[in-house]
Amino acid sequence: MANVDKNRAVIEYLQLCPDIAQSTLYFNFANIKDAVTQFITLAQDRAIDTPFIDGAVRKRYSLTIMSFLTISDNPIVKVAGYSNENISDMAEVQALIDWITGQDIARNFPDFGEDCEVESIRTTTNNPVLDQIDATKTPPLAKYSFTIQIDYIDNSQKIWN
Amino acid sequence: MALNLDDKQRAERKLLITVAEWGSGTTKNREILGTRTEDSSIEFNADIETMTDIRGITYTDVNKTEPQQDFDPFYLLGGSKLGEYLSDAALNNDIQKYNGVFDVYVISAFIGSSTNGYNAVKHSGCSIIPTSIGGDSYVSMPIEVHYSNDITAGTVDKLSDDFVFTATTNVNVQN
Repeated sequence: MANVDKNRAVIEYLQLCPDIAQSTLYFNFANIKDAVTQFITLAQDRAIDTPFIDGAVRKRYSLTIMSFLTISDNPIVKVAGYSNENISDMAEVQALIDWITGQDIARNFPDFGEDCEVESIRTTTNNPVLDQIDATKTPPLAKYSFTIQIDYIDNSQKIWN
Repeated sequence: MALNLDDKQRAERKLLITVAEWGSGTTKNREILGTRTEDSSIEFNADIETMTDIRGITYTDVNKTEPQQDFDPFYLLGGSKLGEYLSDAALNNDIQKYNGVFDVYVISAFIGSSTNGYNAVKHSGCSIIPTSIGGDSYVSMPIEVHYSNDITAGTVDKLSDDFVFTATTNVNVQN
């Protein structure tokens, strides 16, 4: 019963998303600049694990995704064919959230190995949050983030085959 | 048989296993109960009479037991033969499909071993009754297992659906 590296499994899975695949990807530490996507691991409290009477346990894996994109100080104008850069960038990050939602509906999940059944993958919010604007950079950089949660059943301690 | 536990070690819940068996001839089906269920216990439901005499001594008579075990939630899961069987019976109100047609094994895996066999009792002619169907996000069909007390004691050789049950005694409790 080999333990699958869930971080590696999730990152390989997320790289299937066309929008993420175009970014420069980092895990935990990042060289921050435009079009960088950074994955940040989150510790999961065992208190929320749900044990079942057959020895299986429902667990949760969480990962925060941060997207760094240049941000503009241009006002919003009503000109046909003109799209405000900040709104377009927000839509790019929203596309990641929508992709994950679509994968959950289609039941396309990351592979956590034969001892684990993934039940769902979802984001904790419906849209990304703007965490920070770094105005010291030229052009300024905005940091957007959202967290994904993957609920899975760990069957490794079941005794019934 | 002695408990196969270390001194003061608690038996984990997964070591008490309930398995339903149904069908006939060579086409019997078996399925473990309790997948995605967090808590379930066999309630013995003893029928007790007590009497206290003039000396202040209390006498207790246990007339009978009517064991029952509830599984709530009981989610309808892909691949579950029992879920398919019971949901079909419930939705078609086909009571005879679940009335007294199950053999239910209670396997005490904390007694015995894979070498000598795990302690087990078989209740013949049990009812597994769907009590409702529905729920919130996922379809759940809570069930009640009503044990018959028509008991055959024995052992099972392994902890999987294809176990072989070897009877040692027939304990037919007269109510």
